[in-house]
This record gives sequence, structure tokens and C-alpha cells, in this order.
Amino acid sequence: MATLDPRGVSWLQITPLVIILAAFLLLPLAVIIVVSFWDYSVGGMYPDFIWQNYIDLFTTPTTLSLYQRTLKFTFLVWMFSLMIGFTVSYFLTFCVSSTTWRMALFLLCTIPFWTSNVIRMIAWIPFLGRNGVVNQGLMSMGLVDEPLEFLLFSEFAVILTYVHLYTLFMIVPIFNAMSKIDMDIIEAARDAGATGFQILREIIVPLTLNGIALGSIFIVTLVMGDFYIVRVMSGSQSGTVGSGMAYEIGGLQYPAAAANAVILVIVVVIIVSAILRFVDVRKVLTE
Amino acid sequence: MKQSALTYILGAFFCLYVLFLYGPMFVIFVLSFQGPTGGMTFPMQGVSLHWFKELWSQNTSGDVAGSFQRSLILGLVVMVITVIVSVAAGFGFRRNFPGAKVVFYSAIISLIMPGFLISFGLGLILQLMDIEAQWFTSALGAQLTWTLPFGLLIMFAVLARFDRSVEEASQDLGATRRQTLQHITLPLLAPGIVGVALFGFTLSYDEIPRTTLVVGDSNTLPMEVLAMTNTLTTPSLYAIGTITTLVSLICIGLALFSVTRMQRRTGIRGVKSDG
Amino acid sequence: MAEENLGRIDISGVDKFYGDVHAVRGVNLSVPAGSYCCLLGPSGCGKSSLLRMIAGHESIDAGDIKIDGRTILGQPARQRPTAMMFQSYALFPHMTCRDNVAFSQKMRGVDKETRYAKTQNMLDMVQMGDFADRLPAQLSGGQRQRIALARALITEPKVLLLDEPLSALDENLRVLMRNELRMMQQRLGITFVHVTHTNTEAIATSDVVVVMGAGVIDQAGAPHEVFNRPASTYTARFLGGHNVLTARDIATHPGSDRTTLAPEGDAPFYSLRQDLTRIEAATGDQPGPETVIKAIEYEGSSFKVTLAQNDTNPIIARINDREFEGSDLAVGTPVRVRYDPSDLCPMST
Repeated sequence: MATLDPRGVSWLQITPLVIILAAFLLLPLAVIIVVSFWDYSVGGMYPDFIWQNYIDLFTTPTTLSLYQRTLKFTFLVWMFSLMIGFTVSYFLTFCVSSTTWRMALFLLCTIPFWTSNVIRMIAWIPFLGRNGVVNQGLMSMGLVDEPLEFLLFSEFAVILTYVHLYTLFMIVPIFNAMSKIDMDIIEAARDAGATGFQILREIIVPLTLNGIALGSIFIVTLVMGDFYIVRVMSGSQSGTVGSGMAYEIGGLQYPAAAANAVILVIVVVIIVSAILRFVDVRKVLTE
Repeated sequence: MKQSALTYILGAFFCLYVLFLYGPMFVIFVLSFQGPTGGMTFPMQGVSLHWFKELWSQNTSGDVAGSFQRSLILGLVVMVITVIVSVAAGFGFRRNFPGAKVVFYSAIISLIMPGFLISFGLGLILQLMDIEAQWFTSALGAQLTWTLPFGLLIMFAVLARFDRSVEEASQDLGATRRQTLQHITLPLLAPGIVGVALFGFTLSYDEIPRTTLVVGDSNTLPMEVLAMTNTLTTPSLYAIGTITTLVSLICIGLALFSVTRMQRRTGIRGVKSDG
Repeated sequence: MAEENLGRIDISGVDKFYGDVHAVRGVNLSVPAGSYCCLLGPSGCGKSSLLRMIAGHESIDAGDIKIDGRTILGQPARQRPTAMMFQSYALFPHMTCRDNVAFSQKMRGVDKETRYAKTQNMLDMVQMGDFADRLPAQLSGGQRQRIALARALITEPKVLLLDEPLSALDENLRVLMRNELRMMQQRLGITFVHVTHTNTEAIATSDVVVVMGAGVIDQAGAPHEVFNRPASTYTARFLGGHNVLTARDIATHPGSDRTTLAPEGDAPFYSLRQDLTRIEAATGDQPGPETVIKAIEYEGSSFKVTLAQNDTNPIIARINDREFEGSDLAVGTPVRVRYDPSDLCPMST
């Protein structure tokens, strides 16, 4: 049909997507930036253009400690999820020969993703609590005399929960990348005399780097953006940037929270950009 | 592959991981059948459906039935909108059009942006414009920023594997564009579209960060459960967990079933025909 | 037999650009009605683009294409009197063979009983009558091709366009199928345009061979004509089986006492069929310089003997195996080149 310009048709087809993203993504982010420069008091917020919120942010010692804790969590979760994710993916790709089994086991890993995060989080409470499964088990085996307190409502619990919920985000891209490795390359390397470890280092890891980067980006944004898991699992003892922001919002200190949000986004963007230096973005996302 | 010691070690690691994944859920599942005199942890004081019944009675704090209903409806609406918008946009991206990159990166940003910030920004807008937040308006829109990027990426993957020559063949044989879409393109893309629908529903049904500040007075189920973590101190909480997990599992099952049936009918796993 | 109804194609001045790439350059071609025409050339020469422009799956940037005197520009593929058989066959994987073949009728609104009857006829004609209920995934390559053929022919096109239809098949099947295609075309009396990169295939099946290179037509004509009188070094080389000689080569290797430098006027190049190139062991008392056998390759019914006169353009003689085996020729044997000057074909490029 020569009457309708094909590009015009494309524009029509993406219009709903564009409208929704503009209204519910771009506009809110723009508003956050604007409001971060507003003034506020007990009475409410006042449109303005002041740097005070940012100055407060940079001069309060809490900010630094919140960021320290957030980055610490992010790093630890990243490290554990990477180790587990890589190992699981390696097992599925290279140690499971039957494709059916591989897919079935992969599906097994992904099913929990489809269930509620809240429930999965809560599920740890009867597990880790003072009278929980772990403690009862340890005590009945005589390994400890008293219940381990640090298991729940602690930083340990927070990191454990993050790893539990988010390791899948590492597994999927890494497994995807590993599956695409041509087995003939590995055969050739083995013929040339490479040991298993050398193959891992010289071939598998470089070819999986894209997947690792993508997974890392997910982990970083998920952990740094969280506001409720840390609160619940630490028993409100630990604070991160996210939970701090939630607190400010609860206290109606919107401009301050907005400034917090802007700084958070900047930090995340910096980290993501650093990760992207290792990969070809478009190729990874459209594969 | 090398069936060696390595395989067994990694296999054991894998089993541990699966236990790690499913263990806590399993504990909740068991504890939801706690006896009437039992508490939130082991030991089990008998087995009963007591705590399930409690959910429907007035004893439980919180609006479980209402939020459950809202989550289901919202999930279905989000699913339908996600399918329509993702499929349309996926088709749009088949051609190269000016602005394609911008739209694509916006979708990626939507995926990566912490949902909490989106919720916050949207909540600010509503407050400034003096509009009330509602679960079926503002929460709906916010959730779409999470489901649409997934839907779009799935459509990209499916369309990339799609062999366009069947569409050309269809037109060659006399079908109009509409007929080609109806008889050839959509049936062959159906498994992918089911995938988009699955993502749309489950992501909405379980969503918290984007929903949290724009849900209004009536909560969705996950929001309600989150609120109840402090107030609800009986195994009813676990009963909710069991029920909601069952709903999710049924959805996955339905989706998998329909996809495998579709693929068995065409006799192929992907859609590219080889010579 | 009214010629107007049998699919005469007139292509004039057709251009096609893909971005900056000038894929088809001002092509002119007339394909007689009811003929089997092969577009022959390497990948990237524009043959598939040209085919798809006739079909309507690519737009034309300049020029015109007429079928039976009526232009088809502006007509979408579905309205054109053409049908296409795709390289990958493009069978609808989610439909049975019957529904695949019946598809065009269904789109036209023909009722089920009629279209299924017509389909069964078509399937019988391509000897796939028993496979009506199978899915494409359950068929072999050759079987899929027949279904694709049936599906295209049921629309009663004037022109059938085939895009490398045999390239996915193995050698024996290829020879079998090309013969079937040829017979089908003769039976139906419509025009076939068949794109291929295999020269033997083109020569075996077609009435008209169109040799293409870099977006232009190098030579078009009957296979016998094109093979024996190639118009350019490109065609001679692409068809294979030819020695491409410069005027200087002729002077150096006269071939016989009757050889003059320019048998039919001053041409820069000459082609000489390799099987008409003879060699004889060099003894002292003959005219012409000696050269040496560089390599001998066994081909079954002949031997391919490469002479060492230069590396970029070696002279090759194809010698019948009985004849060769009776001689004393071996690698390193000094020989002289012998041929009949009237076998030389002058070429201007």
C-alpha cells in the first residue's frame, strides 16, 4: 500500500508506548528534579530554586553513612549473586547434556521469580528467627547452646534476602550468554591442550562478560533502589539510601527526598556507565 | 560434557541452590496449615485449615479479600494493556524510524530505574495537581512502566527469530495486509504473545516499589501483605502466602501449557523455517 | 495459442538502490512468453533483487516492468499475475500441506469444498497427494519444495518466479528436481524465471540464460549461444569451462599453422573452450613455444590439465580420459598448445 508512509505506520504503532512512558516515567522523573530545588517547611512545599536540599545532603554525616551501607550491601550482594549465578549457569550449560533437562532445571530456578517477592521475603522469618528452623535445628544437633541472634533482623538477613531474591537476575543473562558459546570452540581449545581452568579464564569468561555486565546492572539498580526489604529484614535497624528516602517521604519532606533521589540516580548512572564500558549494550539487550 | 567429579560437585551446589530458593517457601507452605493453637514457628501443633478460614473472618487485621480481588483485576487489566502496547510497539520497531533509539533507551531506563523513584515522582505530580491516587489509575500507569519494557524485549526476541518470508509468501498468494496479520503473523507469534501476557500479569500481581506511593486508599495484595508484616502475628500471614503463590503457579502452568500445545501443533520450537 | 496470456516480461531501465549501494543498474530485458528464463550470477549481482522487483516484494527506484504489455508498477504483490517460490520455501509451519496450498483460495473467499478439491488436484500433480495432512516440519527438503510449487501454481500465475529453488537440496536431488521443474514449465506453458548461481543448472533448464554481474546484465541468450559465444571475459569465466586468452596469448600460442593474430577483427580477448584446447607432447620439429604441464586433475570422464604458462591466467586443457590415458603426458612433460582458430570467440571486454 503506497498510500501510507511506512515510517508513519511505525510512529502510530509506538505511540501508545511513548505516551505511557512519557506520562509515567519521564514526567515523574522530571518533576522529581524540579521539586528537589523547592523549599519546604512544616506547612508544606514551596516552589523555589534553592540548593539548600543538596547542601543539606552533602553536609549531613548521615548521608555518607547511608551511602556507605548501601554500597556495601550492593557490593556484597553483587559478589555473592555473581558467584552463585555463574556457578549455576556453568552447571546448566556445560554439565547438563540433555536440552530438555537443561530447560527444565532452568525453569525450576525461575519459577520463584513469578511468585510474590514479599512472601518470599517473609518466608525467611520463620526460618531465621530465634525459634526458627535454623536455630531449632542447630540447637537440637547440639551445635549451639543459644539461638543465633544475628540470623534475623540484621545486616546478614538483609543481604541473604537480597541474594535470595535477586540472584536470578544474574543467572538469566549469564546462562543466556553461555548457551550461545559454540561448543566447537571449547573442543578446539581442549585439542590445543588447554586445561579446564584455562578454558574458563580464556574463553568462557570473556564470552560471558556481556551477560555478567547485564546481570550486574540489574543487581545494582535493584539493591540500591530498595526501600522495604532492608527495613523489614533488619528490623528497622539498618538504613540505606532507599529507606532513608522512604522515611523523608513519610515525614512529608518531599524536596529533601527529591534531592536524595536525584543524587541516587546520579550515583547509579555512574556505576552503570562504568559497567557498560565492558559491553556492547544494544547487542546484549536485543539478543 | 565431562561427566566427572566436577559435574557432581556442581550438581550438589545446584541442589543446594534449589533448596535455598524453595526452602523458605516450603516452610511457609507447611506452617500455613498450622494447628489452631500453634504460633508463627515450629513446632506444628496439629494440622488444620484454621488460619485459612481466619482470613475470611473479621478477626484478621487488614483487607485480604478486597486487596486480593483488586490485585487480580489490576493484573488482568495490566496484562491486556501490556500485550496490546508491546505487540504494537514491537511491530513498529521492525522498521527503522527516526527516534527509534530514543524510544528504545527510554524503555530500558524504565526497566532499570528503581521503581520507588517512579512511584515518588508520580505521587508528587498527583499531589501538585491535587488528583487522588487510585489503584486502578495511577498504580496502573506506574506498573506499566515495569511490564512494558519486559513485553517489548520479549517481542524483540520473538520478532528477531521470525522469518519474514512467510509474510511475503502470504501476500504473494493474494492475502491483504490484514489477512496476513490474522492468519499468518499473529498465529506464529502467539507463543511469544502468551509470554508477554504472563509477564504482564505476574509482574503486576507481585509489584510493590512502583505501586507503593500511588496506590491510593485501597491496597493491592502485596501492599497489604507488606503492611501486615508488623500487625499480623498469626500464621494467617502464611496462609496468604500459600494462596497467592498458588495463584502465581496456576498462571505459569496455564502459560506453559498453552505454549507447549501451540508449539506441538506447529511441530517446531521456534518460528524460522529452514530449507 | 494466444501469446498475450502466457507471461511476456518487459524490463526497461530498472534501477534499485539499497542505501548507497546501486544493486541493479538500468537493466533492460525481454523475456518471451512461455519461456524458461534463468538469471545466473554470483551473490550480490542483483539477480534476486530483480526477481523480487518483478514479484512486487521490492520497490523499483527507476524504470518500468510490464507483463504482457501492461505495467505492474504500483501494483502490490498480491495483485500481480506472478507467484513466487522462495528460497526457504516459506511454507506456513502451523498449517498442513493442504491448508498451505489452499491458502490463496481461502483468501479469495472460495468455499471449503471447492478449494480442497482444487488443492487435492494440485497436490496430485506434484506427486504429494498422500501428504495433504502432514505439517511442513514432517517433510524432507524435496517434499517441501513440491508443496511450495503447488501452493504457487494453484494461483494460476502467468509468471512463476523461483528464488534459488534448488540450493537447499543435495546434488542428486538437485538434478532430479531441475528436470521436474523444466517439465512442469513445458506442460503449463507459462513463463518461469529461475534465479541461480549454479551455471550447470542454468544451462540445463533454460530457454534463455541471463548472465548478471554487479547489477547489470552481461549477456542474455539461449544456453547454447551463451556457452559457445560468451560476450565477455566475465561471462566466460563465470560459466566455466573456458580459457580466457588475450591477443598476446594467441600470438604466443598460435594453436596451429592457420592461426592469425586476429581471426575476426581486432579483439582484446578471446575465449576458447577448455575441451577444445588440445596439447601434444613437444618434439623439436613443430612451430610454437613449449610450455610445461603444471598439474593434472582427474574428473571422472576427463582430465583437467593445467599448463604452467602463467599463474594468474593458466591455460587449461580438458582431455577425454581414454585419450589421456593412452598418452604419455605427466606433470612436467613439455607440451605445445593446439586448437582450431575457428573455435576462438572474440570478446570486447
